[in-house]
Amino acid sequence: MLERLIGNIRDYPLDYIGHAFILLPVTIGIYRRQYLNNQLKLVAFYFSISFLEECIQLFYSLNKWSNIHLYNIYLIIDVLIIGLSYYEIFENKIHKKTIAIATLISICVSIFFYSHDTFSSASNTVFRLLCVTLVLFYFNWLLTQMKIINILLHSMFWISAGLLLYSLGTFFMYLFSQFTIGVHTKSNIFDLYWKVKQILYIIFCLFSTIGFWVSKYDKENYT
Amino acid sequence: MKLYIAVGTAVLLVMAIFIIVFVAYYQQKQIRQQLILKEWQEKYRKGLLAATLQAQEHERRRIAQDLHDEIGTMLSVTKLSLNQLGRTVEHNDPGSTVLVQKTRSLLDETIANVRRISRDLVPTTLERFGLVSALEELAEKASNGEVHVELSCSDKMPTLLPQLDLTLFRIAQELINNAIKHANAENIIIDLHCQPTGILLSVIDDGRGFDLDEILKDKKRGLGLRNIESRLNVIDGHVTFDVEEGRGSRIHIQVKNLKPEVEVEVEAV
Repeated sequence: MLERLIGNIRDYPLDYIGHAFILLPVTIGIYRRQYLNNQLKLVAFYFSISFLEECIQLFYSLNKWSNIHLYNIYLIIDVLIIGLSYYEIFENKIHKKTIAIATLISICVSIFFYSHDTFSSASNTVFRLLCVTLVLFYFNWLLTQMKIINILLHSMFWISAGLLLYSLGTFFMYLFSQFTIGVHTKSNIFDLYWKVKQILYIIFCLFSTIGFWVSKYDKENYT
Repeated sequence: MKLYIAVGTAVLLVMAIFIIVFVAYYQQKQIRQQLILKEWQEKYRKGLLAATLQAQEHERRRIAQDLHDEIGTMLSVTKLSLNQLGRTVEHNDPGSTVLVQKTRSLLDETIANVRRISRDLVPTTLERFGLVSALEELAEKASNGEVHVELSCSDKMPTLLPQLDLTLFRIAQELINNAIKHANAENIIIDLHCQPTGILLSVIDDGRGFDLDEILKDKKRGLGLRNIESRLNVIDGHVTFDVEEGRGSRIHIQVKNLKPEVEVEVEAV
């Protein structure tokens, strides 16, 4: 198994770098734990779960077992955590209700389009659509409220920016997954899109790390 | 198709970057404007408050002057006339002498009251001899058989701005008044000290204290305390209320000495 792992690292280094990068926001999140509010705790929890999911998937792949179904199951968990973390941000009941309904719809779609042996294109697309909607909803709220003194020291801005880049950057890739990362896709095309996805995920991790790092200024950053 | 996906992905990424940059830039620009506006509003509010206080002082001065120059003079003239009348009545109608004497004593009392009110309205000692002398006079005036007011201050007090002098004097006046009237204090200490950070004025009493939250909640009460806060707001001062119902109060006022000039030696009491 170790030889296979080393071989995989040699062939797909970016996958493992991406995997390692998940630990960065988790570590900084733990380091800044006393400054984390509920939504940031949920984001930190999301990255911790993601790392765990990647570890289980890696274990499956090293044993030459199919891990696609895991990928589809984890998507439902991710939708739930991301939805919850944005639900925690808003105090307005209408906002909360909107987010709860959008998250619930996404979960229903993910369950409905669940596939055991292929990437669920619809679930992934809906997940990304949900992320984009939540981020834009949040940005709109930020611009209407005008309560943050310095937005570059606001943790949720960095996390949302990273999530937006990742979601929009991989949106078409998952929408047309049969051409990009499907079972019948040529390996060079698959590799290209998979690398793009990994790079965007690394960017998301880096942005989130900055978000966790600046979380200590959050309390004083309101007008 | 693959090309379209790649182009679509690139376009979405550019869009995402644009949105992020736009949100950051627009939010920062708006918040900066909002903060500037708030700063202006605060400045305007302070200016308005300062103007109100100044107008209040002008009005006090005018009333004091009217009392002294017009009513005081009229009363003195009335007293002179009464004295003349008294002399006439003494010869013609000895029975009315008592009435004249009673009227004279009432007139004397009224003249004394007019003088007192006039002096209270405009602290002339403050203008002529400074804060320490004015506080000494205030302590002396407030002390009587039941109440003992004591002033304790640094040996060397810098000369303060007239506005600062007046603010501190008015606050001390209000606090002493409160301690005597509402807290039934017997011993009051006015503590005036110069610190590197500014001037510290404390008024400590042994009265029955009060519940600050309860007083501030009630809009009809606590006018004096609110007035103190307003006065301090104008000169960027700070007040700390160490108060509780059932025990003496300690109220500390801290202000920045805006213009420390000449040091005046005073005798510590």
